[in-house]
Amino acid sequence: MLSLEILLHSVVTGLMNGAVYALVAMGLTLIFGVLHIINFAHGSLLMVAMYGVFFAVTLLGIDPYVTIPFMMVLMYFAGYGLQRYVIGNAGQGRDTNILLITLGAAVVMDNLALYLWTGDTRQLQLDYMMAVVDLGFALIPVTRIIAFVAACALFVAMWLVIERTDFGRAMRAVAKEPFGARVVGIDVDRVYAQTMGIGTACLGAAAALLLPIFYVNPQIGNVFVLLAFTIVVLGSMGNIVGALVGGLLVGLVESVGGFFLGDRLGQVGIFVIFILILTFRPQGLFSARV
Amino acid sequence: MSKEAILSVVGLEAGYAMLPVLFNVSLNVFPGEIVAVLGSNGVGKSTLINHVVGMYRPNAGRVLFDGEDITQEKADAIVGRGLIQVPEGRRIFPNLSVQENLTLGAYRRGGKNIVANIERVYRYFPKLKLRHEQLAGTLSGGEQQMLAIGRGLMSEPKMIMFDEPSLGLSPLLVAEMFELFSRLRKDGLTILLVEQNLAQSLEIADRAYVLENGRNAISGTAKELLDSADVRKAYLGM
Repeated sequence: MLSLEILLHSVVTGLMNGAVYALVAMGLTLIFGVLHIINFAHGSLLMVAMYGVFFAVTLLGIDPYVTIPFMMVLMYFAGYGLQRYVIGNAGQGRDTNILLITLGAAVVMDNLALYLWTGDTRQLQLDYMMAVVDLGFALIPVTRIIAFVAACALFVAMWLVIERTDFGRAMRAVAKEPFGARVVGIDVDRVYAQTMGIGTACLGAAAALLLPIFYVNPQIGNVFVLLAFTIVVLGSMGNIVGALVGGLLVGLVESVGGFFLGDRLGQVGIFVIFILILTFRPQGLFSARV
Repeated sequence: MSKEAILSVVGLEAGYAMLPVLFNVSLNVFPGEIVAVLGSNGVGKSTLINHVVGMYRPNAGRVLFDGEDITQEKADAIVGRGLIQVPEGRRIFPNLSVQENLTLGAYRRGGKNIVANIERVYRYFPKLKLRHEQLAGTLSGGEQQMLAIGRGLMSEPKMIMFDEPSLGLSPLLVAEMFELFSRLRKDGLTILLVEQNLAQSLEIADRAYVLENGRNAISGTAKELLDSADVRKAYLGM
């Protein structure tokens, strides 16, 4: 049956997109869970990272997947600096200030991108972008498979850092009990900056994985940040396993929704779920926990 | 006592925003002592501790620990020097297991002697060992207080400051807690004990300072204070 094959194809595609959405959302949920900040700059930082990858490929001739470690390091420092020198200083610990600072940072980045790189939509041209892998029931582009595998690997790595390392323990301690964390000698401001750095580093990886299957323009951040916020709420704010499950679910709903309703309406399902969650289970599918 | 003080607070003035809390507070603690800082609720006892360990910056005055000026030092550096507080309200990490809480107590030591120190804490508090995998938030109040003390011990401190350790505990547990302080002192720790519970504190303390309205009021050996007519009348209801 042809239609069953197409359905299977859209399920697989959905899960693969979902893993990358989860990566974007993981950064956001980590930042929310530890710093209790709604980071409106998250999408714009992703956009900047995507341009970074784009120019690394087009100007320097580097393979997009090779840029991952470099982009992660660069984005780590961008996030670290944003928290330490901008939000930490100007925010003065007030939620309203912090909200406006991240929103302001997003506006600045979006418009700077528009000014520097124009509003043109740009896409990579690479010879392996047309290559597909036959999974038996579906033909899947290599680029999507790489994105899926790499996103899952990064997710596992992040989970191990949070659950098994001293730094991860410190992060979880700071998330719930910053005063107690200072009592034991944790430099809380530093952990905040490092968490912001790691959450932003996720975007460096996501950018490199997304660019070969997507495109970049100065508004691209909004597309993903809206999805990421949905995923974060779906998976319980601050819960990174929830971000993965939420991401896969959103990817699935988008893709299968597209199969039944057509591409233009594919995202409707996501927001229907979002509204249902907010109405009946506002704490999300899981319990909040970094 | 002719030895040098391990902790000296000299003319400390402190407060929050526009609200002054401490006025020219001074005290000395010598190695191996149990010193009590007493006074009624809201007199500035916790403020004193939090300014000594660098949680907040004092407006004036100096704090010396182990012969060095730590007034402007950050909280994490002060932990590294061997001065730790067991804060009021315990402030343990509810979302982490008992063992993880203890592990984080040694955060500044970068994991050195961690296994031996955890075993040592479990010897003081066998109950914690039974619950080592349990989330700290699910412990009873008394167990949480044990965990907070154990977490403090993990940093291998020279001196511990207890902020209202008896708060919210049953009389039996309070008695156990005070016994423990004597044991810790025997094991080589210097202790500063901040309490509202004057009678019991004076039983185990060597010396005490009584604060009133954020100022030094009375000080002396525990016996002097117990014998003082003023203290008996104002605080002990005798």
